[in-house]
Parts: sequence; structure tokens; C-alpha cells
Amino acid sequence: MKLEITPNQYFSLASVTTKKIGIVKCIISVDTHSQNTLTKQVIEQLYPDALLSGSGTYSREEFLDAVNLLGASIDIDVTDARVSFILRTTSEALPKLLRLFAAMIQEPMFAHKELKRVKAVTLNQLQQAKEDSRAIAHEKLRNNFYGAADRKYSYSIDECIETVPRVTTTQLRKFHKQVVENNWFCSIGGEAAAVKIFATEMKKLKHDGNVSEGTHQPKPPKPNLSLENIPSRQNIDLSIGVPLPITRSHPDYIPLAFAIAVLGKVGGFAGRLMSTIREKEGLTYGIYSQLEGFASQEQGYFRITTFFSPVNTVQGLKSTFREIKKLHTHGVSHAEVDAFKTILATQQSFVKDSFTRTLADLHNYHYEGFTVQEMHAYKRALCDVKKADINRVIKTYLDPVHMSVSGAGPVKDVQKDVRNWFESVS
Amino acid sequence: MSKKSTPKNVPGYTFVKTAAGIDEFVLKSNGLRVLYHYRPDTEVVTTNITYLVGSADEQLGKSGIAHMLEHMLFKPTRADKQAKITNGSAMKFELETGCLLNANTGKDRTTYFFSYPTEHMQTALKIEAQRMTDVILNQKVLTPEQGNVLSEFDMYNGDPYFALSVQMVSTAFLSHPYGHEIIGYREDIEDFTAQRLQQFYTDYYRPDNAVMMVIGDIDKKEALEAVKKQFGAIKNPATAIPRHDIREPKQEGLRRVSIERNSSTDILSIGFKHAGMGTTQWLTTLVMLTVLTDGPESIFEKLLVDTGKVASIDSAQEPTKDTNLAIIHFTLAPNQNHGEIEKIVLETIQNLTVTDVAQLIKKTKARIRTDELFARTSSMQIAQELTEYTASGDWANYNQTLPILKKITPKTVVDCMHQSFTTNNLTIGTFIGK
Repeated sequence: MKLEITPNQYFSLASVTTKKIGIVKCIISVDTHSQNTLTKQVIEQLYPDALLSGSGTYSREEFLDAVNLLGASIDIDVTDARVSFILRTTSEALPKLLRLFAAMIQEPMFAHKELKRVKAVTLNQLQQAKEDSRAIAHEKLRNNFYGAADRKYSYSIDECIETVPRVTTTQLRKFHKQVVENNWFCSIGGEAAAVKIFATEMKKLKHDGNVSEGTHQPKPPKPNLSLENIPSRQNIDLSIGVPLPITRSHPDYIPLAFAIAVLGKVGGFAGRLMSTIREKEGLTYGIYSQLEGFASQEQGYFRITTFFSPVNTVQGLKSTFREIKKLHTHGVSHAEVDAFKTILATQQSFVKDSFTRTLADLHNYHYEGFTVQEMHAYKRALCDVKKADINRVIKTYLDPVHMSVSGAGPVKDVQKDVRNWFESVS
Repeated sequence: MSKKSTPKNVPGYTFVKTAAGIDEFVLKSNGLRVLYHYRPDTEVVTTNITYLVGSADEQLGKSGIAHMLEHMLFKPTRADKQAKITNGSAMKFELETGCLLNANTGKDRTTYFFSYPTEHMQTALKIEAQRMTDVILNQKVLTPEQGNVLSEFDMYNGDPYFALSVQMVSTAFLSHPYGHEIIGYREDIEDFTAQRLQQFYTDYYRPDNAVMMVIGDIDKKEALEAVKKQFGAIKNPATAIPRHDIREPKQEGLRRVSIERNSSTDILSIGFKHAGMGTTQWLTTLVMLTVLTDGPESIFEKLLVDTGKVASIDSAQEPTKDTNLAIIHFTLAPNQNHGEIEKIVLETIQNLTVTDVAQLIKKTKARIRTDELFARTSSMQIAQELTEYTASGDWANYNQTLPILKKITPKTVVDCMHQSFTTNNLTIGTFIGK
């Protein structure tokens, strides 16, 4: 597979050129963050369905029919103000799919009738989200770290439900204009001919490009406990973490990413949290840690995600904090540094096993402004990190007394005990 | 000689067949089946061993034992203990190499896999061979793992769709073991003993009940020799593999079940029995479910989601060997009534004609063809799909999706619809939020 990233005037193009495989996947991402507001958050929820609801000469039905007859798909995802279009098709059908994509981008209808339908569907989905304990625990944690203008802040489901009826087609069109005008990060995985077709179509489609200047509003770190009772669940979902005052470009990011992998590498059993709290103590099915929400120019946060049964929650939290404290006090060992250098290097090699995984990996680096050379250098740096640097950043950033805890689930019977425990550690 | 054209005559093996670039061999010494597929230039190999034992092989009061045992295979073996590997070889292998490892249990099979850079294949196979016979099963190792499995059970059971599905399959099947979910009942999990697990392990974990898949950037001869080296000396027990031979009694009339919970969720679930995987009818059912429920163009998304009556629709059709229950979940919008939605759904299905669905079927078939190509772009995905075909009877059906798809017509799908949604085939569940 050949990997390339080529800058253009209004968009950049990354490609994974494969041998003959007969299929193509394209990802086009746009950052739309300016200032988070309740209305903008709701528009982002309505936008994917609204945009797929008719374009140019196509009604919604005709548009969906045309895409599906190709055996293809166009999916739209909006997460933290980043809009991504994901196209999947056979190589043969790519030109037709790109024409449909162009119609959707250039001539969206945003018809009143369709908006009414999209709103009704979205309102029902929001009602359903009220019992999503994992998402609620995560959102509450982030709201403790960021102000309302930040992209990582989430307005409550009830606030969103109140706002949905007030969104207008004019507001949706304005948001779409921003999507069209901001810089695009386009990536494709497929055969050489498909890469060429995609590059040509993107050039035709993109005539301007703006860089989005967004408001970032990190709050000063303050440990906080938030608990939300959702009686229908059986486990209490937990997000535990702390905001970090560095961006992905900061020299401390790489040693910190390494430290977090030692603590709770996502997937498998190698991290300390899985090997102790799950394997030795049998307190949870899964417990992982990672750095989230970072960008080259944007600070992010550290988060542990897990769940415990109500009866095990206090013990589970104690064990989790014991592991963070152990890491903070003693740092990582030489043996761990050696082991995780191999683990992280092997993880990088797995992308070669799948062109879609290679594409997803390349697209993420591409979106962060990396060249292919910089991506390789970054991956090498992650495996060349020094133990002293890892332990220094652990001391600087991962003191358990600064951690916040957010839980959602059947907390009613244990919240007093959890509060007492939290007061004793923060 | 290229890697692909390595001869089929490999010492110690009997060659069985080739399909879709996959070769099947049987190890002469003990009957272990080996599937090999070459994927050049990836530098990665996935080895996947599938034991033909799952929750369908469990007895009353021992539900979930196949899944519990799956967890125990990550614990130390006797050889690990001698070598003072306290966390078990599989975990040590992950720490030393960064391999991907996991396992999963189905109704007809239990599967363990490693994915790793090619040079680690011998170690991966050695670990897999050791844990086929050598895992230590005692109460001291079992108790903490029971806690993890109970945590997993609670994770699933907190999901109203799962909780309702458990009740629905137990209502749909009176005697067939598909009538309990893979993870089992909480009470059974709490009562597991090391002795019970040991018996299950001895009964089913043996070479003649396993299929080893080697998929990736590795020479065929080298792969087969490595498998022979690690597994060749393992003997099968003299006893036969215990199998249930149960025929489900004929269903007479509609079956219903209901759950009430402190929740804001209301669900109507409609289950229907369908034929096992690998058959034309299984794939026809998949096409039918897609047409009815999957995506904005589907019959019920348009009829119920777009009109605000239902918040979302999900459907599940498990890849099993025997007749199983597929379920469509309709999550009701606020102030909607289970009975009214049920009436709309069943009446709509009864009235659907070939003309109503012909175009949708054409599109669904096109989508399945594309999905099939995407599903075969990594060694782990290939292993996963092969696993399901292997457990359902014949791995070579992996190559049959497109030929079968060609035979499926709007008429066969409509016929399937009308036969599936009859009172003698339906189990209806309601989740009532209080």
C-alpha cells in the first residue's frame, strides 16, 4: 500500500493506494467549530439527516434510491463540531457516487417538510438517550472541565429537546455553508484509478477554504463528583479523569500518551488497570484509560472509563485510585517501558493488515496536519520515549487528588458512600 | 515455487478441499482440522481456534458454562505454573509482543484468536496448544473470574433489549438449548464450580472438536508444520463428544412475554424462527430483515420512525447452525402503545407484495455484495466470518453468499416474510417502562 498526503489550495488529499481490491472508501472531514452554543449543538444533531433529505433534482427518496442502487453508502457523522462524510462503494460505482455526493454538497434542499420529519425523529432519539448511562457519565465529566463555549461541552438532553423545534432551515443552510467553505481533509483508500478520480472530483468541488478559529474554554481543574441516578441500568458507568493543560503538539504529549497506555491501554489485558482490577480483583469486565479531545492546537483530557455493580462501586473506585496513586508515586518501571515500546510498535504494524484501518489511521494524522513523514516520525517518537520523561509527566499531570469522577446508573443506594469516599481522596 | 502454489500434499496431513483461496487439511494424528489462507505483504498473521462447543451444549442449571470456560482459558496452565508465569502465557504473550488477543462464545462454538507480527506464530500456536488441555481449573482461580463474568452479565442485562431477548428466546424454545442466552443466567453463573468447568473442558476441548485457522502473511508449509509441531501429539479422549440431539416441539399459536422495569424505555419486540446459517433461507431472511428494518429506505423506518411513532428499530439474526429466533426491536416514541404498533407491523407485513419490495430487494442485494467485499479486507475479519460458517456446518459456504444471493428473488423474500410472521412462528415481547 502506498501512502501519500498532498496539500491543495482549499483542501488536502491523503491516499492509500492499494492493489486491485474492487472497493473504495473515502473520508472527508471538516472542522466547523467556532463557538459552541445550544443552538449549534442541536443543529449538529439535525444536520446529517437533513442533508441527506434531498439534493438538486433529487427528492429524499430519489437520492437514497440512487445511492443504494449502487450498493454504496454515504454516512455523515458530527462529533465535537467535526463533520465527517464517509463514502463506501465498489470501484466501479465510485464516479456515480461522487456525482451524488457533489449534488448533496452543492444543492442541498433543506425542505421545510423534511425538516419537520428530521425534528420529530431527533426528538425521539433524544428521549432515548436519557438512559445512555455511559454517554451521560462522559458528558458530565467533560462539562466539569470545559466552559459552555468549548466544543467539548454538552448541553443537557432536556435543553436540546426544548431547542429542536426552534431550529430553522436558514440556520441549517448557514451551518452547511460553513461546512462547504471551511478547509476539507479528504482521504481515500482504493486502487490508483479510484484515487485519481477522487482527486479530480474534489478539485472540482472545492473552490474556497477557510480555517476555523474556534473558542476553547478549559476551566481551571477542580476535582468534582457527579452522580446521576438511572434506575433501569444494572451497573454504574464511570468516567474518571482530569483536564490537561497541553496540546497534542506539546513535548509532554508523547510521554504522557505512553504513561496512559501503561496504566490502561485500550483493548486487551496489558494495562495495569485491566491486569489488577479485572484480572486479580474481579471487580469489572473492562477498565481502560486514554487521552481524549486533543488536537495540535487544542488541549484535551485524561479519562478512565469503566463500570462497577452498585455493590462494588466504592471498592472499584478505591482500587482505581490506588492504581493512579501508585503510578503517580512510583512511575513506570524499566520493564514496563520496554514492554510497551514493543506493544505500541506492534499496534502500529497492525494497520498493514487492512486497508480500511490504514485509511482511518492516515486520515486522523492528516486531519491533524501531519505529512506522511511527520506521521512516521511521530510513531517512532512514541516508541523511543525515555523512562525519565514518562515519570516526569506522570508527576506533573496525573496526581489522583485532582481527578474528577462522574457516574451514571443505579446510584441511589450507594451515592452517600461514594460521596464520603470522594471527600476522603480529593 | 510461490507461497500460494505450495503443494497440497503436506506430510502428516490429509488434504480435504479448497474454496475461495482457502485450503482445508486434517492433521492425521488427531483429526484437528486446519484452514489456511495466504495474505501477502501484510506482515501479520491471525490464528484462530474454534471449538465446536457453545451454549447449545449446556444443560439446565449450567447455562453460561461454555462462556465461563472461555474466560478461564486466559488463566495459567500447569506449564505456566511450572515456568512461574503467574498471569498465564496468553497475557504474557500480549505483554511481550503487543499481539491482539481475545475470545468469544457463540451458541454452537467457542473461539480464541491472536493476531500478531508473523515472526511470533510458533509462540501463539504453542500457547493455543497448551490451553487446549492444560488449563488449571480450581476454585481459587475461578472465583475472581466469576466476578468479572457477573459484571459482564450485569452490563448486558442493564440493556433492556438484551433483557427482553433473554425472555423471548426462553419463551420461543421449549426444549432446544437455543432457549437460553450465551452468557447464561446470573443464578447459574453464581453456582459454577471448578469441578463442573473441568468436566465441560474435558468433554469438548480436544483436537477432533476444533478447527485451527491460519490466515495471513505466512507460507503454507511453514504454517502447517508449525501447527503439527504444537498440536500433533495431543490425543483425543477415548470418550465420545457429548451432544444434545433435541428437536424443538412444534409451536402452536403465538407466544408472548413481558418485562416491567423502572425505566423510561418502552419496547415492542417481534421474534420469528428462521433456518440456520449457510442455507438459502438464512440469507433470504437476512435480505428480508434488511428490507423491513435497516436504513432510512426500509419499510418500517419509513412507516414508523419517519412518522414519529417509533424512536428506533433494530434487528438481530444470529449466525447459528440450527433454527433460531431473529428479533426486531421497536423502541416506542413517548405516548405510543405497544399493541397499536404491533398491529401496524403485522398487518403491514401481511399486505406487502412483490411490487412493494422489488426495488428494495435489488438495492439490498447490491449492498450485501459491497459489504461482503469490505468484510474480507483484514485477516481478523476473514477469520471471524469463516468461524461462523465453520460452526454452522461447512466453512466452504463462505464462498456461497454471492451464488445464493443471485437465486433470491422478490417472490422468495415475500414468501419468506409471509411464512415467518405467522402466529405459529412468532414470539412477541414487550418491555414496559414504569
